[in-house]
Amino acid sequence: MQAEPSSLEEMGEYGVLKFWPNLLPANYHKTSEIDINYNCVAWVNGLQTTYIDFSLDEEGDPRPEPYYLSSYPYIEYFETLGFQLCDHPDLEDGFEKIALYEKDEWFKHVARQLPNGNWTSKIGEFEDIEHYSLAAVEGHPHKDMSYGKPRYFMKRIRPAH
Amino acid sequence: MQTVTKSWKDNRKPRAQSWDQHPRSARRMPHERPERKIVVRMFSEEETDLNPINLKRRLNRETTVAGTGKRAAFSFDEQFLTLAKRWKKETAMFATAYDKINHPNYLTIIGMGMLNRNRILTLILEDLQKGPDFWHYALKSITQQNPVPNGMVNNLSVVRSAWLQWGQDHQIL
Repeated sequence: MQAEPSSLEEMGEYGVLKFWPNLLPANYHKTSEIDINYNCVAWVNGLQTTYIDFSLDEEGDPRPEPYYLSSYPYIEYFETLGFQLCDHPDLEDGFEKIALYEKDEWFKHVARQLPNGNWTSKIGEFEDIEHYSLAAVEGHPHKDMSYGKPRYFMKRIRPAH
Repeated sequence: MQTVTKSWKDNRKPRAQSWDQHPRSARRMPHERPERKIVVRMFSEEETDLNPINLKRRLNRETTVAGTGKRAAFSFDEQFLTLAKRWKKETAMFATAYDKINHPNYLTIIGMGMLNRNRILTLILEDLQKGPDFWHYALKSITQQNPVPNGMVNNLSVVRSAWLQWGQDHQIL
């Protein structure tokens, strides 16, 4: 039996483009190996040992309220890290920005801006990548299960490290 | 007497209403746009039906040889491997556990626990031995037990070691 793809490389260019239509090899490069132990939200905070996920309760059961599937609990979490909502994702000196992706009002992904204006993302269970625009990891517009589009932008004073 | 004539056109699906994507409707004011509804229930009743008789029938129907439509004589183990492989493939890119476990194959695997509880637990725990994965909700649903310390469900290595220890304690592994 053929093993399931465990990285973007194993998905192949065609497999990647089926899910992320703009994620051509020219639009990103890999910055780490695959790691299932953390997600994109934890990656914004620099954590690499745990998921940060509000869709499950403390015992691991799915929360039925739509609030926990939306971006709002994540916005509140990022506010505790010093981020504030802002209007646009353009690079500003001295500020670190993040972009939250939504599909049909459901939270799907978050990307963090690097000092050079590129963005860094943890792609699900796959690798961390550096992509050169927010559109690179936008999801397919006509598929139910996709990353959707960036909807909320937040910024904070860039940490010294 | 009135005669009814049917043409192939009558069988066509109605055209999709994609007003949100249409550039003309995108220029509308926000309050004029059609209201978007949150789709909470994405799967049919049949897909989430865990009645053992219907489940067995569905498993037999779904495990067909690709391209031929002929039913393959898959064993219980192979059915699990087929469902798990496709579940992992189709949910690996999602950021939240809800998106990962809200998949028909994952729910079917939970339902297979009613057909052969010990075997499905062995298969899941053997998969968990290979590496951490999102099996906590399935194991919790099948066993009605939760060996993971409270508040640690988002730490996959803690979840993995807790369930592997549980498997050894209950002589499943």
